[in-house]
Amino acid sequence: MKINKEKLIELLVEKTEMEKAEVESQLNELIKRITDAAERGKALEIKGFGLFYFDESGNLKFDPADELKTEVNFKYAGMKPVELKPPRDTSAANKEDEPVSDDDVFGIEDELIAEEEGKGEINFDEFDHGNIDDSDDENPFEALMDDDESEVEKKAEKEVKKAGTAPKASSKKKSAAKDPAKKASKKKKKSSSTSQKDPVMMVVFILLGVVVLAGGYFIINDNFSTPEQQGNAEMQIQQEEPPAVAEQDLTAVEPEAEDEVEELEPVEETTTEAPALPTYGLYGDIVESGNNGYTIVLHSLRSESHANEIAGELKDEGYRTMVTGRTVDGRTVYRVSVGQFPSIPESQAEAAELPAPYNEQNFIQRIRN
Amino acid sequence: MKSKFINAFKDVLREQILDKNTVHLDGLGQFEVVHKKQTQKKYENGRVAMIPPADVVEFKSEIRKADEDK
Repeated sequence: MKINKEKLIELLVEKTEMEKAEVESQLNELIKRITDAAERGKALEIKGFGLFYFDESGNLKFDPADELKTEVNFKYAGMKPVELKPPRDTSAANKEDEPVSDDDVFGIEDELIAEEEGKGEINFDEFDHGNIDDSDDENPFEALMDDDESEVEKKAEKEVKKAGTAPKASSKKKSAAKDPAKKASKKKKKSSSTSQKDPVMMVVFILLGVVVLAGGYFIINDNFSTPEQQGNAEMQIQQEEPPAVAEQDLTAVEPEAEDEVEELEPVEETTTEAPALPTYGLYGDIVESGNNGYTIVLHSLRSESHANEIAGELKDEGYRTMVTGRTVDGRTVYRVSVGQFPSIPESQAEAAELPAPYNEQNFIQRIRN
Repeated sequence: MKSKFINAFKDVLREQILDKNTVHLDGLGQFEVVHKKQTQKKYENGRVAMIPPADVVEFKSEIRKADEDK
């Protein structure tokens, strides 16, 4: 759908509740300001929207603000360039059989060297569509670009450059730099060697777990059993033979237990008190202050009643639910969304946790008041 | 210029752009969302990187710098 100036003025009148003539004059003034500023070689920025300026060739340019860029590119947010593996050369293949030296068992040294190399030629920032790096959900590239691997690839590439520009580097650096494929295979070897150690590690972890649990058990026992109870227990053991005394002991213990319950009750009350809903979250009721964030759209329907019906079902399941009307291609659609989140990455993280098919069929949108 | 108007201008344009609508302003230019397909990029050292797809805001200007027209 195309929005021309007339339509835009109508929308602005609706939004600002100002007179049409006033909106029109304000819009013309804004356009004039943008062009005047650009003519003077200055840029005019509309915060949260973008920057207008003249480029070297004299064309008016517009740089969208990061916020707008991210919102527009929400589908692909967090996707990074993936380096395609080059064909392996035989020299590298031969070196794969070399054992991993003892002085660099964890490959830390290689990584440190790579970090020291500085920037490679590929400017990865150039492809950073927004400031979202940790949101890989819904990412068609996900299978291809595991973060760790891409880091390794980047570092390997940097090392290649280092080898190319400084051939007299130390032999260690050279061997690390000759081929990223070798480095990758080294990593694999390391992982396989660690997998061989797994049974030993598992046993160690299990033992540690048992020790921790036992420690925890004793600590809990110490904290929750009063000295009186312990004394009673001792008396029980000592006086086990005369049943009458044992019964007395049991009755003596009962009030203690009750006391404990009484003591615990206030704590339970404080925890069960209905706490104020957090501003952001997936469950509960809509919080007004959370409406400056993002929400996960699960349905986009033409029928408002159907949208409300589905929203009701989702609400019954405990979700923060909202129905919003949007005009897309000239038609009004009603979007059913859940949750309120402060950022797109957090929304995406929660979206990935939703039950199927919502975990794959959703998109993030900014909440509009 | 009223800040109320600026805020409304920003919000309305952003909403329209996010709804994939093309916004054409006479005397300024046209805003639209363009989809960029994923591409392969070859570097001088022979390495090849796959650039992910992206939706970007594109602005087609209607005006040029006055001295450039002359």
